[in-house]
Formats: sequence, structure tokens, C-alpha cells
Amino acid sequence: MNSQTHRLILRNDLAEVAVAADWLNTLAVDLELSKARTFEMGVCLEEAISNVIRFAYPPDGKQQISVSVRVLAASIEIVVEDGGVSFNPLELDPPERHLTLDTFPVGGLGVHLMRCLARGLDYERISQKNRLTISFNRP
Amino acid sequence: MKLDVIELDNGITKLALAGRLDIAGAQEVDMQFNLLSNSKRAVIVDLSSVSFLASMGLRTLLAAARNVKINGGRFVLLNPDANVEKVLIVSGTSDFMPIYHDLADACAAVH
Repeated sequence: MNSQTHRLILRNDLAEVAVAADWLNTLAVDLELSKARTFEMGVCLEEAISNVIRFAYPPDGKQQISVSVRVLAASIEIVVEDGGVSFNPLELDPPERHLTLDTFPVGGLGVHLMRCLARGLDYERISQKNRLTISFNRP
Repeated sequence: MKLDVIELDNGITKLALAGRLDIAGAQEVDMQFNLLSNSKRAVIVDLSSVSFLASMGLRTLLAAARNVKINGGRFVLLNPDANVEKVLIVSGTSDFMPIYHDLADACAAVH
């Protein structure tokens, strides 16, 4: 199957989230993705990268995070890889429904959003690395 | 991220946000949003110029909604873009922050 892969390397610094967003938005124009798909991918990318930056590494700004966008025939995938501590975001429980404003948890909202906006999420721990694959329908 | 504070009639305050409510955007407005939400009792947050919303932005909005509620007030959202509205709905947070598409309706809801 023909596929294209676009890759970006980031440092573990929250300022890099904006760099990734700009990169994805430019790529989305080149790939002629819809505004809605671009938005969904942007939210998921921000959540995935910010989780890695905040939780996977010590805050030294020296570690690398690899972001790839793989364009397949009927889908498009964002793959985020880091060498930080093992963390499977899919083990987090989604927020319960029927909560109140007072009891609604703000922690875990990012993973919840990824679950809601992506077609699929897949986590692997490979060679001391976390790999999160977030897939979307194309276009 | 830009935040304009507009005082409307009947003690209603409109907080108009503009820009990306991403991690950086949320950090830029968090403190002012916190202060305002602690001192206002009828709050409309105008999202019509917000082009992006992720979890940190949701936290900012939820924290403000909680502050207003604690003070016995009402807090609603106005005119989000379709993609922003989708984030509010699928996250479940619109259950606590009602969305309106008409300023008069929003004013009636918080008055």
C-alpha cells in the first residue's frame, strides 16, 4: 500500500506544543484535510505531546519526542514516540457520566478527548519506548 | 489569547475570548479569568473568536464556572465555532456550561 510519512522531532518543553500545532496545520493544508479533521487531529496531538512532556520525562528540555503523521489510503495516523517512563494513557478510566460541576474531574480530560475525537487509539511499549498511535478516517 | 471584559446591562458580564485556547492560550488568561470569575455573578463567555480548544482550555472554563457557581451565580457559553462546540459536547463539559447561540438567550439564562 502506498503511504507517506511526515516526521517532526520535538524537545520535552511545553513551548514545543505550539511548534507541533503549526507543523500539523501546514501539513493539513498540503494534504487537503477538512477543517474538522484538522481540528480533531490538532486536539489529539496537543493532548498526546503535552502528556509526554508533563509526565514521561524530567523537566529538563533535553529529551526527544518523535511525532509522525502517516498518510494511508483510507486513514491517517499520528504516531507519538518517547523514551520516557512507561505510561499507557489507555489505562485511564473515562470520566463517569452524570457527574456535577463540582465532581467532574479535570485530570484525564485530555485522554478522554482523544478517545472521543479519534477513530482509534493504540498504545505499545517497544524497546523502552512508549508509542501512541492515534488514527482518523481520511479524508 | 485575547480577553475583553464587557459589562452589559443588569449586572451581566461578557468575557470575550479570541485566539487559540490551547496550553499557551489557557496559561495567558488563567489568572485574569480566575479573578473575574470570583467577582462576577452573571457571566457569558463569548467563544465566537476562539479557533481552538483542548483540555487545558476546558480546565480554564470549568474552573471559572465553578467559581461563579460557588458565588451563587450563573455561567454560560456563547457562540462557539462548530469544532469548539464539538469538544465541549463530547467532553461532557457542556452539561455544566450551557451553550447559547444568541446573546439575548444567554443574557436571559444568566439574569
